[in-house]
Amino acid sequence: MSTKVVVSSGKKLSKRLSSLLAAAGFVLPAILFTYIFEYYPMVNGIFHSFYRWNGSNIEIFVGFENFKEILKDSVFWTSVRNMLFFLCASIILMLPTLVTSIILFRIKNSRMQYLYRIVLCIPMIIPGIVVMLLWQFIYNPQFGLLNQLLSSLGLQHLQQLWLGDPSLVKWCLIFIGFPWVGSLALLIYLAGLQNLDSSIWDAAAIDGAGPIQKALSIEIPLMKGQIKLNLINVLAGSVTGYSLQLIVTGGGPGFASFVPGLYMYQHAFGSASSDYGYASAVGLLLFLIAIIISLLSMKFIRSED
Amino acid sequence: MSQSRKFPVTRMVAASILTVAVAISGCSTKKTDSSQSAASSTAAATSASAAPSETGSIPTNKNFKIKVMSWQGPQEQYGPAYNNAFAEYMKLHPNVKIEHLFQPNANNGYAKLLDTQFVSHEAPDAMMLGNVEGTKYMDQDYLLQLDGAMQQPSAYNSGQAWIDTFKGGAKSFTSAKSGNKYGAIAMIPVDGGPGTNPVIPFYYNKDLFAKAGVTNLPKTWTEFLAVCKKLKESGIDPVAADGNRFLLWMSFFTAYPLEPGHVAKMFDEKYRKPELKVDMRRVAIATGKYTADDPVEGTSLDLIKDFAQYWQQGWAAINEDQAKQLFLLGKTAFYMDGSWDYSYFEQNVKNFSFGVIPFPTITKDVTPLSSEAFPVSGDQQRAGWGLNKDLEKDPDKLKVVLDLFQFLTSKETQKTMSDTGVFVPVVSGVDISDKVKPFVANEQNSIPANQINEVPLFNESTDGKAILQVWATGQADKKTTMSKLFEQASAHVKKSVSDAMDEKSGVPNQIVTLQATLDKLKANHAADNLIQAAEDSLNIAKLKLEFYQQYAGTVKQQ
Repeated sequence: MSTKVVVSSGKKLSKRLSSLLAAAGFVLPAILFTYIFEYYPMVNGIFHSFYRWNGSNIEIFVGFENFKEILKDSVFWTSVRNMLFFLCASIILMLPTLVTSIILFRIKNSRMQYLYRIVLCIPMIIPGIVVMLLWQFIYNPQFGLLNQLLSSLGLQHLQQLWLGDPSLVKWCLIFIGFPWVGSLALLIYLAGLQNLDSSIWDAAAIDGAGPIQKALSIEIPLMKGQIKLNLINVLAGSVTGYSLQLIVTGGGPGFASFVPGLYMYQHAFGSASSDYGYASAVGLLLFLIAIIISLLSMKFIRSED
Repeated sequence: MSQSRKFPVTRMVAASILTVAVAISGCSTKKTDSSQSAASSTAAATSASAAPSETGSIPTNKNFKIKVMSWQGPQEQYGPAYNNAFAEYMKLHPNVKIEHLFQPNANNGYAKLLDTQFVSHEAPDAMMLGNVEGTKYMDQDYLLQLDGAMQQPSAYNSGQAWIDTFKGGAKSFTSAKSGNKYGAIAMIPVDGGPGTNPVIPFYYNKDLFAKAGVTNLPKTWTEFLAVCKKLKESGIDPVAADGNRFLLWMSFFTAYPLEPGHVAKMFDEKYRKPELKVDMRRVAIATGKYTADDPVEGTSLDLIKDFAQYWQQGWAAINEDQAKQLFLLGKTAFYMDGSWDYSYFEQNVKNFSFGVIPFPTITKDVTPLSSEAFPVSGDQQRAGWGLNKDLEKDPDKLKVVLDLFQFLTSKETQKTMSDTGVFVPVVSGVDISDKVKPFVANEQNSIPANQINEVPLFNESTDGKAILQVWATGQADKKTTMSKLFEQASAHVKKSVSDAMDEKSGVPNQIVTLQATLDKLKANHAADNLIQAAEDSLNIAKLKLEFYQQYAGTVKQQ
């Protein structure tokens, strides 16, 4: 009898082990890729942030020297100020997407709703760099579309240097996203709205709530989870991003649109010096800044997830 | 066996296969570039690197695929010249296929791509490089040292040593060797040889000149600014400028004529060698000999500021392509560009006629620091093609690549390429066409290479362009500008000087490597010229170390 029990337990264990191994086998590729392409570079970057490293033969441990140098560099602080500007602007410009998603959700005709959703998502398929280069030409002071349009309307006095004007360049870069309706964020908000219990709107209708009151009291509060998600994306993107500045202005004119991500990029790939260690230190600092800002932001948002 | 027992096993097998398949597909594999097949070829091959090896034909029993990369695309001026030459080579050697990859240089895209390719060992077999990138990649050990290969006979030039076929011979490579830690030849010049004026000229719009009433072409800086003023008063933007390439050029060209030998004179005469040019500049800044208020660099800043008032508005935010568009659209009178775009303008300028004028002379009435001369070009090769150090792993392929470049630098090929591409040939004995003549050096190009003022602070700073943009647009005063340049340059050169003196990765290590190479050459009874080249490199390295020990011993390691 006891032998039968042992054999039966052994078979169950073996079956369980086989299942576990099979599951591990399916999950392993994803884990491997995540480790190789996400965690390893991250850890490697953190490790080399304490080195002077040219990516080749020079790899000298310098401790916190890179960080001290970064914090003493006025160019870095200029870039941080610019970054904070873009960050605040990006947070405020989350509103158009939020409002659009609410309006879209309220469209009663399902075909029209579907059509609008397609139209708003088409920009996703256009590579971002194409948009940036187009806007670079639009803003050209001599032959760009914007100044040419103003000239043809008899508004020559409104013509500007746009990207060439240090006081305007940041505003011009922000305007490149017009009308600031992000396709991915829109889909996330819509998904959130569609998951809400429809009885809430019935109750609101009975209470006589107007459209704005419904948005402020029902839809936005109940979408805090989605707002939190998009906010984290916006925060991370604003703190670490630099592709817009790199392509459109190169951080100029002067340092007017210089951001920390570009600062990191220049130190890694600048022709005078390729100090990947220093650039890694900048990357680590940006990561810490992004984490701190995200945590502070989350404290003020309560999710009902 | 029951279903319930079969299924877990099946799942396990499927999982294992999936994992292995993903792992294999995720691993990069180097494709072999040669395969067995019969072909005919009669060209001679040469040896690699500093070590001597036998000469001989390129292997004919294998196919080779050579990847070369440049910023000369098919629409670019030199593109057709190179592509035609590659096609000729492939006709000559049917077992060789050359893939010419095009990567634009705008926004530093070319260098950024190479940075990542070298790190992952995916870089092409040969790549076009500028001086700065060539030095950088040589210091990072990504490029082959070519001294040995250059000493071998050229298969396409009557058996002369390859290096002697270049204009100026071996001496023309001394400046190219300067700056890299090995003091070695890092690049093979193919286009834009000695004789090319290192100072880029201006293309000008003849119709706009006529419209503004400009009848005489300016020769001096004063005349040039007077013409710009006249154009501006006529409502014409004088100059198509950009905040990137043009600014970089102007910072150098306004400095070149000023007080030759300004940095070299800070050191003992025996160290004033072209190979130590960059080291002298760095040590001068690191030790405070070159200060933040250097009058020569300050003067070049003033010249830029004076000139900047004639650049089109908003120049700081645009790149060279947009500036070129301005000129093509006939909106500006001047555009600074090299011979490589001559054919492009010929094909694309529709509504006006254009000409080329040399960069104006900065005379003593503008500044007493001016020598009224420009850097000599006649004796130094500039930039060229680097060869991937990974080629050492495939000696046969290396022979083919070297043979290709010997072909490109033969007199016949250089003549054809020069006519198509409009550039000064890099080898001696080639006639140049009329189109090329405006880009050729003249008697004013007389400042020796080791005495050129190369704006040390700007050169060594990380954000030099941005700082100059702020200066040239009037947003900062001179003291602030130079302090900023000095702060950045100082931080950078102190690291460079420390690295140069580092036992493991600096000049001491270089000396050990070069000594070992020399000993090996002697032991193998290599040719005298190879031994001499190795001895010269070793002596320069020793001189460099002595220089650092004498002048930079107090610079603390960072």
